[in-house]
Amino acid sequence: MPPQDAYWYHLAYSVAVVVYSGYAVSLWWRRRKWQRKG
Amino acid sequence: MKLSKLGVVAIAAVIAVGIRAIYFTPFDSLQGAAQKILYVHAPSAWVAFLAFGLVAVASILYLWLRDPKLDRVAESSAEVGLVFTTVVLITGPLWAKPVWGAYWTWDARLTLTLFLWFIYAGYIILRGAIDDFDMRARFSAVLGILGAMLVPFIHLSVYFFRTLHPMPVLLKPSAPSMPREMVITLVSSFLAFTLLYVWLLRERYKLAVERDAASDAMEAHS
Repeated sequence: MPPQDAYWYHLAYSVAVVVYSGYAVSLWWRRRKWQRKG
Repeated sequence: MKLSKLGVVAIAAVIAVGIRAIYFTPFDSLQGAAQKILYVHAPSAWVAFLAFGLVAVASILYLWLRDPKLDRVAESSAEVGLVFTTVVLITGPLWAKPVWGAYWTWDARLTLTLFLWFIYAGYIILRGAIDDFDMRARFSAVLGILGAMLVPFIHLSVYFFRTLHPMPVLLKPSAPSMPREMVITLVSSFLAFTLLYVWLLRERYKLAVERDAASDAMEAHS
């Protein structure tokens, strides 16, 4: 029987969501900073 | 920053692929649930290679034409590519632990991918360390081109070396080596992650334009 433990892929998907959404938020944050300076 | 139409489409596509992968794609008979990590890991790797390929093309064109827009494209694509490579380097070990029994092995493909991450992390640090625009753009263009030369070696490393890493299931000359339902999910994830890359690249490029405009305005005032 294959291992049916979903823990590893749930963890991998959660990490991907955190990294990609964190990067998108960092872009928004940095753009706001430069828009204020400009 | 308002969410553009492209952003909405890219995020919706990634969520849709996630739902399909979790609820509507069968488990692999040998690897079990951990195989579903492939639907995040492989498209992230594809996008990382695409991003660094664009860095190389934009850098070559910059060295030829000296257009600042090309430098901004290279800079933006390198940063976005580094984010995707980070996901590759995290999700790979999370797949390896249940399947191989170890998070990491100094296998050719894994090691070369780690080197790729270091090269583009160095690329971003280099850009931050040089104030002169022309010098920064020229030096980073050379590093960007040299770094991208690793990409074909990484893709072909499973053929060149004895490696634990699985062979390509999709990006190869012969037919896909997995069931149709899994192939559909994998192809969809490649498309969704490519859209995500295009959106993030566009937003990062706009950031570079706004940063340069603000820097010019501050210089003019001082």
